Amino acid sequence: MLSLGANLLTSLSDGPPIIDIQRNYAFSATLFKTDWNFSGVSTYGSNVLQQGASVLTSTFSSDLYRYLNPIVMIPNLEYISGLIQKVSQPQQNILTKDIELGPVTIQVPKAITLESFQITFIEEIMGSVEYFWRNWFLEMTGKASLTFLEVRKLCLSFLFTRNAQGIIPGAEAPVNAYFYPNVLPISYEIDDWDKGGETYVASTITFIRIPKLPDLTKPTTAAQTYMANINNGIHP
Amino acid sequence: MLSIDGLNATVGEFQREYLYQIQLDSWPIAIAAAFPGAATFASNADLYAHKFKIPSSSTNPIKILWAGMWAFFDGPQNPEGVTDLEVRCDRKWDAHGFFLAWKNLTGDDTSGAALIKPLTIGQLSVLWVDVDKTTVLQKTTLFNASVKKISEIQLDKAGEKEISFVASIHYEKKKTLPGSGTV
Repeated sequence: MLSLGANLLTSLSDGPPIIDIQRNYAFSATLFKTDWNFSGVSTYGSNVLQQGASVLTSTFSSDLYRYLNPIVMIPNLEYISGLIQKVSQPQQNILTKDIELGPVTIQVPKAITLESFQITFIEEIMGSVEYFWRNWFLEMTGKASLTFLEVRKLCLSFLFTRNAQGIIPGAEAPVNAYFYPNVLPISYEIDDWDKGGETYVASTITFIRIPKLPDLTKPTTAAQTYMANINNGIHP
Repeated sequence: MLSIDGLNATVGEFQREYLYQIQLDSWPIAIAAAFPGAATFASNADLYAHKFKIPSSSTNPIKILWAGMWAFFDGPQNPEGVTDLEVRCDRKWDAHGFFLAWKNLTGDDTSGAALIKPLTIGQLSVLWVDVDKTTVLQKTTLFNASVKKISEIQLDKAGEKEISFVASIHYEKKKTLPGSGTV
């Protein structure tokens, strides 16, 4: 009791016993492809952008290409990564197994399950996020039957980092890393089209982790280098 | 002892609210298509400027209740993100034409059409000028600024004042640095 009282008094005078808190908005996400042969987006993206640019250019300003050029990089995974707004972390459950020991039953840990998780993307003006994922699903479902290895080739890897609040803006330090290899999009939801709407469009993609195989593709070199620089990395 | 004896030595001069200069560092080039006099106006914008508000700065606190008390931590930045520039109208209405054209890039009064964001933003600076009326002490720059609203203009057959209006300027980032040079 004495100890508890002392702690309480300390807390009241000093505030929570922490230096600083983690913010839910201080994170970054990077999307890596593992082994993916998917070229449809670039053709589509270029064509649409070129057409759109020519219309806008003739109407308003020849300066437009200067601004649109970066958007031509739409099929770039880095570009898609940059539109990530919200990540709902997967719930992790520990499955248990009952063991009877004489008159009592105890539960022992058996396995960890990783549930699905969701990522919300902000849509940009050319609709690249929707197009990107719609084509991904077409790629997955367009074939009569996909072998496990073919599915495996469509997998993505995500690297999330929690960032500390940086003293210098833009230089926030990653403090924890979460690497989710071999994830597969399984459902895809975009906002309703709404003539009375007043906000932006977002897409929510649900991912699952698929089991590992012996010939798993490793994270890309870039990912490994990035992770090597992160202190206290967590590798689920 | 209450005294103003040391005021001159300690404080020196007080700053005046009228000592500033507006600069349009950049503005959407599409304005020129709708309003031919845009370049001329933009380079002389300060001559039309009447009142300007240096925007506020603020950080949202995150409040955590702890053992019956609270603690504050710094949350996201939360400036108003908007400021007002009050502009006097010249006889040709150039000032009004410029800002109305800028506003119409973000949503046309007639058609409702709007350009993409990179084509609607500009950069605006205000120079904080010393009481010598020439030395620039500080410079505050608003980045990714765009005009979202033009105030109403009150016409009055019995009126006796010059016409002015307010352009509401939204911006995303603000930077204040020590100034240099003269105006």
